[in-house]
Amino acid sequence: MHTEIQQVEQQLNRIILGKPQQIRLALTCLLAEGHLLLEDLPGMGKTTLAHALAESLGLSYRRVQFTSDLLPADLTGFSIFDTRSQQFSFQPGPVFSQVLLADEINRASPKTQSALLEAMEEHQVSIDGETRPLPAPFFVIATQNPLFHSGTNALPESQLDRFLLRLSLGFPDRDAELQLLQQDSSASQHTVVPALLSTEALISLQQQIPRQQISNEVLGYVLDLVGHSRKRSDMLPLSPRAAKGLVRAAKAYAFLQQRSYVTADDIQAVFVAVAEHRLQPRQQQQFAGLAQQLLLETPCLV
Amino acid sequence: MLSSPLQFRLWLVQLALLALLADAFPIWSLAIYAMLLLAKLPQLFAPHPQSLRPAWSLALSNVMAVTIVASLLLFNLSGGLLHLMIHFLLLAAILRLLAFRLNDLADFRQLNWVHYFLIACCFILNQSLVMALFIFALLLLQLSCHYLGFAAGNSKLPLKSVFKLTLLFVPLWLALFLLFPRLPPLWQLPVSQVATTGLGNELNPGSIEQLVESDELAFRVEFNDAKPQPADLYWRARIYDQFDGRSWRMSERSEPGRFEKQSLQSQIISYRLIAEPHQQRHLFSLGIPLQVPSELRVNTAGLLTTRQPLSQRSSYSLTSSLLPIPLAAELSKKPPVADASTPLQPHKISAQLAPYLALPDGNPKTRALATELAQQAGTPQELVQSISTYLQQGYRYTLTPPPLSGQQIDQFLFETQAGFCSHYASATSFLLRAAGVPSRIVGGYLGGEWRDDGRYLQVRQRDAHAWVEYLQGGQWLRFDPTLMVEPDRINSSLDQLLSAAELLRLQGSWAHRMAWSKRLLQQLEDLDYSWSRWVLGFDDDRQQDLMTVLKDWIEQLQQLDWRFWLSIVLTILTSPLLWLTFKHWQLRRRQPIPMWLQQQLLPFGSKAPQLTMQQFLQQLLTLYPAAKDAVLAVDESYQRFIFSEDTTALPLLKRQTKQLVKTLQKQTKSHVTG
Repeated sequence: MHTEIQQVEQQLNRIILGKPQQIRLALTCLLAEGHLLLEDLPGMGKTTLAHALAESLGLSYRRVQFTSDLLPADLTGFSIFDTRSQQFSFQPGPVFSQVLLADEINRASPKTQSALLEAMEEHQVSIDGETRPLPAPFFVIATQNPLFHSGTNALPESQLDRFLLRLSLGFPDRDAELQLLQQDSSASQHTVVPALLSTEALISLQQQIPRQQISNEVLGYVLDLVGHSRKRSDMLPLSPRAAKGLVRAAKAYAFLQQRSYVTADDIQAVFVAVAEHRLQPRQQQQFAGLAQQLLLETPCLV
Repeated sequence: MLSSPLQFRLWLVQLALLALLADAFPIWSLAIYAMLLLAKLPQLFAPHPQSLRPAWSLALSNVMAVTIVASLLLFNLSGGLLHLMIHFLLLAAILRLLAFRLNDLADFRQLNWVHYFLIACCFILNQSLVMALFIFALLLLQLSCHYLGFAAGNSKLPLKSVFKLTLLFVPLWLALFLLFPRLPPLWQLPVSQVATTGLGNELNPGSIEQLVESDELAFRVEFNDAKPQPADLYWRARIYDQFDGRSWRMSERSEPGRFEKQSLQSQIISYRLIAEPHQQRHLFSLGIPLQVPSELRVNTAGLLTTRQPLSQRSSYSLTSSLLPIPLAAELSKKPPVADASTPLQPHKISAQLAPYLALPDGNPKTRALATELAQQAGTPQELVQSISTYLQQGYRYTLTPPPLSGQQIDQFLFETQAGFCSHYASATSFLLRAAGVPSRIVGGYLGGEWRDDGRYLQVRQRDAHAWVEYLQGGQWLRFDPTLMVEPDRINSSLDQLLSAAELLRLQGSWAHRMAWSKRLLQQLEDLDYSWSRWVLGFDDDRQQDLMTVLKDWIEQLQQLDWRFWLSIVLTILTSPLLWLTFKHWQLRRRQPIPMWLQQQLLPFGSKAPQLTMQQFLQQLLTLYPAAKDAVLAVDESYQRFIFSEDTTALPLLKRQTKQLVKTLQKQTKSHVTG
């Protein structure tokens, strides 16, 4: 099991150059059955990462480019009247796939965003009074441009909270970028990414995550961190859901490190990605350091 | 308003010390010390806190010290080393307090330890239970001073942890008490300034009456076997054998007595005596003491003496025979009066017995009476009989006899005819001697009060008594003339025999008038007895006894049957289980391990609070690259123990941590030398 997920990780590292930590966190998010929000400037490789993730894990995926005129039905699907069979037949939308790539999610209207977020939380959609379950596993990998870009509708706090992790890829370093440019000149622009995991294998991996061991000392550290955020007035307090997400993410992260138990280091490694977008939704990844501040100010006893 | 609570407490300690140690001081130095203590008072109760300024300057204190020490050396050299030392230390402490500067911790430290030493000295001078409690309270006060002096301002005494610590130390304290070797005292207590109590060197009409007025404790006795008969409870203390017409004195003869123990092996009684300090050398015993502790001596008269005057409450194990005291060994070789048929012929009596017949001139009527009685009697025994018959006619037993003058014996026998035991003993002895029978007066105590359901006998000064011993057949026989006058004296306490007026005179203290306070007093006395017996009396012998008991117990264990061994085996088998359960419980409380690890590594680097332990170990690794293996090992076992909750990793973690500390120590050393 470990070897397979490691192969996936290696493959992703070959595609996205120089970002091993972000890739590991992205995988962590998927293993922890959480939805991933990628936030960065255009052209940083967000979509490439989303593609590569879905393909490497052998998942069926659909990509939706969110625009301001995208309607909820465009996502969830709709019923049309089939004149031959004299019946309404349901045309499932892009949401009915294992991975939904929601590109530039903050370009869509709040109504559409809301529809997607409901699906993310409930793992089902209600159309024409009929509840339809989504396939399992179901991930949303959303990307968004920084908020100051024109034509964006910021996601509300409640909806940001649904994303387990928010990642920002950032600029590649010089070597990685050089390699990138070389690859571009030598190979074709879209290399085929082979699937390395079956759906069943992925599900069984996901099922192992909750069984990761986490000691009371580490949980105590989590509580310290969360509790500290609640005492501060300059940030939103971290919800119990955030704490739960933190633990789950840390477990998945430990799993990726090939450990069966969670260490305090794991908590610190995932904390910024888990907490930052919850602490100050309006601020952008690059400029805010609230989660980092929390880490610095909370004593770690273990 | 107190300017300094700390100084006031120190002052109180010194006041109490002065009171407790008063026995060691002559009255004039006591007065000086009290004045010095008073000199501190104005500063203690000053309206404005002037605590930063000492009451006296250091120079003044020093001058005072030199003066007083010089006068002490001039006038008090005889006091003995211990008393001199106590003198100097108390003086130093008092003057130190007078020149005390609040911020001077060195001063304060010295003062504390001198106080502790003086408090310990109080135990040399006071041994009773009440005093011990008082000294203990004083110690607590001093401890609180000590705490107050070093504690941060306004900090409260952590009573809970103090109590816990005290409990922790109780077993150690008990073990020390039970097992610490009992050393003989390193000092000798001088007695020059302390008044003697009890029977004196002289017995005259009236001396016993004075004693009887005292309610003071003389000694206490615990019998090992059955209680003796009341008629046997004649506690012999002194022999008075020289009469000068007015009072009886002791002759200075104290050759060690050698008794043939084989002939005295009947009516044996063994007991434990706890004597109160009376600053004299005599002790109390029944009959002939046969087995005595090595520090005591028995003289020819069968009396016990100590080498040094008794200045501390002391306890002795004794064995006595209740037989009459034989003439001393060297005398009994050629028994001069062994022939009972010729008892009353003075010319046959040897020179050694002459002192027991010597009489001053005077008292012609008594001499005439003696001659008359002697003519009727054939043997000393018969003479004694006729004396008792004579005394039963018209004589009165009273604590307040009319005063005597001139020919005292004549006056008593033929005029006043009222007297106390010393009168009767004196007259009887005179009669016997005048009739040619060697006799002497024995001073001691009669009876006593059974206390604590007859567990022990308490003898007070008021039980003082005098009786006569006369020689017949090579033995000193006891004759108590008082009994002829007042036969109930032996069975009932003195109180019942005395008139109401006399009783009132005896029971002058208020405590005796109220029943409840009397009961309370008695209970206190019983407690004090147990204290003396079990705490003060815990000497080498008792320690040996305890060891023997322990040894016996262990030997008995070895002779136990298979069931015992089975249970032992079962215990051994189950104990690992218990141990594991305990371990498990202990390991569940693992919280402090990260702290412990940090502490161990503190000399080499401190963990920033926000860092995880693993990050900290990484830091160490960059600081000490050569210790890489040790650091990684600790990291691994730490992860196993804390995060993977693998409790078996704890010993490994501890071992590896110690290894790491060693490695790091080596590295830092080589850094320094390099």
